[in-house]
Amino acid sequence: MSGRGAWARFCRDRRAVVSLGILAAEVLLAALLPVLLGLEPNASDLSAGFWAPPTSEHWLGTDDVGRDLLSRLICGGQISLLVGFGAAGLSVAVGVPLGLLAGYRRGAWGFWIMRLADVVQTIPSIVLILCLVALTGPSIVNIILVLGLLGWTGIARLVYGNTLAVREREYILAVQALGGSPAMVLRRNVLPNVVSPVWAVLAQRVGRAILSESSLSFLGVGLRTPQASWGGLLHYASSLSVLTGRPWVWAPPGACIVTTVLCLQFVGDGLRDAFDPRGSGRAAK
Amino acid sequence: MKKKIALLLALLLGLSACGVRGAEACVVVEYGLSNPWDSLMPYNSPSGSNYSRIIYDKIYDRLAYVHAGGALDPRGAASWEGADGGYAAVFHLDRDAAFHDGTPVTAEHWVETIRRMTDPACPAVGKSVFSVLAGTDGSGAATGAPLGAQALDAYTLKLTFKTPTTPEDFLLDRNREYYVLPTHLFEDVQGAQLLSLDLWDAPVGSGPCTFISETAGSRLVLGANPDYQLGRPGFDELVISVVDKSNLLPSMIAGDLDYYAFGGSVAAEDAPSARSGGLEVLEGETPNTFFELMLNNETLSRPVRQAIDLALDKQALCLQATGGLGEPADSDLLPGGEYAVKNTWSRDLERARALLAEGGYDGRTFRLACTANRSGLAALVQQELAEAGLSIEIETVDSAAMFSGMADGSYDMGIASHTPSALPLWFTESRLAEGNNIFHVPDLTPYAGYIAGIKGEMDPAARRALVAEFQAFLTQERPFIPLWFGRALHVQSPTVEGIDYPSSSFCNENVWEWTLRR
Repeated sequence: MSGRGAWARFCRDRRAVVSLGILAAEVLLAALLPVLLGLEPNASDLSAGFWAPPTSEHWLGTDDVGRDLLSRLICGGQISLLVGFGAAGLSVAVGVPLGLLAGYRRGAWGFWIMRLADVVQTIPSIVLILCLVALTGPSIVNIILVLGLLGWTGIARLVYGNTLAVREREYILAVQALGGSPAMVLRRNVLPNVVSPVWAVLAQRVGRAILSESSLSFLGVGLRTPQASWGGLLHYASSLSVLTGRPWVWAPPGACIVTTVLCLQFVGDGLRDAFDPRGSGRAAK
Repeated sequence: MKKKIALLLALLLGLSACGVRGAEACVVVEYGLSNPWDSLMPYNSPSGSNYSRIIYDKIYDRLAYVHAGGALDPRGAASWEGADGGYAAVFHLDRDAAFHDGTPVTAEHWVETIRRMTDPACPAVGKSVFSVLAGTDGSGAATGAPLGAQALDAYTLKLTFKTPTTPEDFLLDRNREYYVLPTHLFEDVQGAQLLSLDLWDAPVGSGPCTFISETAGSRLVLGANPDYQLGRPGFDELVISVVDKSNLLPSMIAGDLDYYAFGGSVAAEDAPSARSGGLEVLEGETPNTFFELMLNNETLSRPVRQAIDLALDKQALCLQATGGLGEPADSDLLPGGEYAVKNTWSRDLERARALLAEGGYDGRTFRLACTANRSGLAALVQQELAEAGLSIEIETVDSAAMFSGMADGSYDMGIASHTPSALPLWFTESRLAEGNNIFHVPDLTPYAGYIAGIKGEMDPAARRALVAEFQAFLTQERPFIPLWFGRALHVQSPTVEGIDYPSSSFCNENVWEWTLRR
């Protein structure tokens, strides 16, 4: 399956293309606007006051410390997206090799790696994440590490299943008969044939990591003060007066989270269909 | 079989006061508390928290009732006076006071309570409250010397102190920690076994409420004590439920709660929600919170501590935290009180920068600890200190971790709040003492000298002069930074009348004056 063909199939899914455009715009805006506009998300404007409603100067108003909410929303997007993509990337970086190893070597390797995945999956993730973050301390790196290292199991299982099927193919047996080392076989012959569904899962993992970070920040154990994230901004909604009387505080970060997660889901669906030979027919209809 | 079931149901109903009166006639007050109590034995609370004290306040009786402004009303004691040149206080007990089992409360009960609790064999964790009495050591355990608790007659109790203490000062400082126990119920029990009694699972006190049932950590059902000497509470049952703090106000708006501790207190930002929910919100007149920035005096030199004091915009911090219901402070003395000093604080960034340079500040980043609900406040502190050139990082932790981190020196600063009283040493005496040197002051000698001098001075004018002198010393040393005094907003109960809302912060509630609105 050529990359050009997959891209062509992806482009036929309008929902996925629009979603990808929105995500690209989000990433660009979050990356460039703070620099271009010189945003200071942590600076209070005491003249504007605390909890100021939207004005021409502060389009989304100010927070409980007088900080500009628009600046914090944009800069918070940087962190939320960084956590999302960072944690998802780490999950893939851990899950794919372990899945390959377990599926290709089978035996004790396969048994222990998959049982480890079982054990990790049986623990309620949010409880485990809360404990680990409490132990390691709230920081971007720690949250990425915790979310990433706990998110590998699903990817490993996916790759494991596909590897079990691929390793029995004739071309793999042929390479092995010609003296190909296990590392070379895995890298050159197995990996390219099992990795395509991972792209779809990767998109979903990004969304899940953003939601997990939001949950942690909503519970008050997210990032270190005064860093902003979409989840941290949403945390203000835990106050009755903010929830009922100041929708401009929590609605924008909430909308950003929902939009991003939905877009990632659509992009994931598009990637899955684009790389799935059985799905290409559906996409072409 | 049917008869047995009917009998069982009748017994179950009989366990509650309302079961006796019948469901229709039963008057229940639903009471919310944001944190659970940890024991029903008043001298054995591991946390010693106000959430436990407010429960003991109902079941057990105290000597007096303390108003928010510092005024005292009779409760277990009808009157009191000083004695022995200021070293003793004599309490004339209310002769109508009785335990829930009908036994009259006598001075001997008070003496026995103190004797049994100070017994070194008794493992009560709260015995330190008696350390102010003669005949006890620093932990409150009896030393063998004559104990400073004596029954002059059946209804006259004399307490003798180690240092001169007026009865009023003693009550303002300790009333919330002194309860009379039904010692006649455990006369033959050894000290070591005292805390194992079933009595503490279903306690008998002499307070305005009787114990009915408990679901540990979540629900406590109390009944009205019909024979309470100050009057019968105007309800049949007081049902105390643990409700998450963020749900207290919504529960009251929804009608699930009649009142919540402490004093229906509500943040300024939530007051509009309360009003729009149909509740009346009134502002307290007496400051009931004191905010301080705890400092580690080992890692922060005196010029740096002074620089921090000058760099902080206390006006902005106070506004952020109280929504305008407070005033910046440069001392821990209650504003408007007898010892209040003139507030001379003003922000001076230039002077702060000069002091940082003088103190040899090398640009290191200090660690500030605060609870999660004060992270915004901490962010503002961080900005203000950064304007002066001082760098801090913020760690949001729970309250216990913050205090233990300050005590073991893990943190350089911490934001804490306290309930102030009118006493001149209410804050400093316990925090600038050996054994509780939370500010890590290298040499406590001068502080101990000032504190002993103030405590020993009985002449009001001379005492005021000493307090002013001590405050000047504190300003110069700045072992901690006073931030502001705040007043509370109280959500008025739509269903219960007669509640003394402000005094709830002193861990006493006048439930005997509560009546349900008709």
